[in-house]
Amino acid sequence: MKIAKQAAVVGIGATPYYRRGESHPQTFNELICKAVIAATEDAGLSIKDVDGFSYYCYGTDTGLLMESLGIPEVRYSSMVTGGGGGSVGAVQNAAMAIASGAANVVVVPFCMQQPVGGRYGSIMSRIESTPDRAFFMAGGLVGPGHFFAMLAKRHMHQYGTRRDAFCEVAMSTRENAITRPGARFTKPLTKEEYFNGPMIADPLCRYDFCLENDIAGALILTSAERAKDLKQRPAYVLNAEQGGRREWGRGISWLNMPDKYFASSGHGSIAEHLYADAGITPADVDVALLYDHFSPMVVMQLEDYGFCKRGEGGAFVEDGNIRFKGGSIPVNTHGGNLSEAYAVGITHMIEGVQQIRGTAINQVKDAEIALVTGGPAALPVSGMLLSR
Amino acid sequence: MSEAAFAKAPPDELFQLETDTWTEPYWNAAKSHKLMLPKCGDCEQYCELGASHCRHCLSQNIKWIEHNGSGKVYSFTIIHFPVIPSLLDSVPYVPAVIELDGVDGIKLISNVVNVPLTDIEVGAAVSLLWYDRDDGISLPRFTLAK
Repeated sequence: MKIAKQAAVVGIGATPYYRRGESHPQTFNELICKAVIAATEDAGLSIKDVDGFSYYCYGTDTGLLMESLGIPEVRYSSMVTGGGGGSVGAVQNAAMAIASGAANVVVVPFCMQQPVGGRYGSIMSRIESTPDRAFFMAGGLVGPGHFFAMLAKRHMHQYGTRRDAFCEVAMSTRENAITRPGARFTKPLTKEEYFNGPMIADPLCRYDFCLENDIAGALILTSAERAKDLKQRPAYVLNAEQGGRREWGRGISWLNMPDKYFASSGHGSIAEHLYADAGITPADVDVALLYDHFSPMVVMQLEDYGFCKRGEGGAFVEDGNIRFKGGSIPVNTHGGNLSEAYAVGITHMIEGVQQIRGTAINQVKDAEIALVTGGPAALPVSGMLLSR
Repeated sequence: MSEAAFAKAPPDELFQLETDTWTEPYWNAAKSHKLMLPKCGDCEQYCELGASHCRHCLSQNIKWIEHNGSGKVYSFTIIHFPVIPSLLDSVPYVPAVIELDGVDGIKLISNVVNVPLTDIEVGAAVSLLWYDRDDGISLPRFTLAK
């Protein structure tokens, strides 16, 4: 995409980060409204300025939001297909809508609210049976972790990656959450605790799994021109990309990726386009907010995004490279999905904006470019670069 | 894990079979314990399981070719934790991706069953065994080859 710095994130907002199921009796729509209102206030805009919505992962109802929020007119409403893979793709869509003049102020909202008694971790046991899903459902794969465990196992086999690397992802992410008041987990995680943690889906233990939370969050984008006069330092959309290659395809619900792609995050082509169109290299990225639903997928994204070579992700993290303090590329400074909270990518986007503003709690000094990624999942997957 | 150290299998209730034009031949053949794989009748390459077209040449002339089910474990996981109550009696079980001998372009998602968990590793040779459910559905599963 070549609309560098034509649009910027000017507002962010979120509800508190609830433990799964504990946001009730607030409703789904109510939670989104609260996040959107907070984001407009953060930006110094009126809710009446909003004239566009850009969603991902099933989105929500634009008309319903307009009713509750009194938004007079919408000129853009779209959604990225797929699930969490497309999260930052919604920011790309918003930026394109703004750059093209389709809309002036576009909101990217997301809400995750667990049903009382149900949990996201067993989602595949609740989805409808379809002919294409039969091939994996027959194998008893009921939670996302069951699939990602097989990618991790293959990575270990192919490259000699050790559980110590997954442990380091979990520990360093926890370290970052400790200073965050909204984080769900704020006690340090030791290596001993990690290795004593119950095995859930070998090789993934409890600490390799993300949390399950109720959260609504929202980003507000407008043109670079208008952004200059608003309350916050703009986080410009330097570049964003959504899609991926056939070899990755449906990813985990297919598992027929050829050897080169199986033990990866499916983000290889996204990274290539992202850097090339922005005219930068991985060395120019100051902080990486990598979708960490499962710790091994951080390792594989580090490879796909060129912070280290293919197969060397394990050693790279074990050497301390992703630490906020002293790492060559600080990762998930907000505590990520593993320790802060999980809401399908919105928390990573919010942290990316704060890093560029210079207001993050774990602020990377003079951060000028932040990478934010969508989930390694079925296509489309997505990535974006925010910049000063 | 002492007496549970054998790979069990996921419960039937997790999986209701739905078929369509392009997957029905696979599941019908399974009923008579034949593992059939889709191959393009025009360009002779393996097609995606369940696809309506050959992705190589876009032909819809898809033939179903029997395979003897010998292959290797490409990757696997051991499910230890019953994330939903219906898994309680089924853990530990082993979902696996199976590479079939001589087949390029199709890997099967299945289970490795009836063997000690510690014997299962990536690259291990497997052979096919059929599991017949009470409702008439048969599932291809794998065990370590002798």
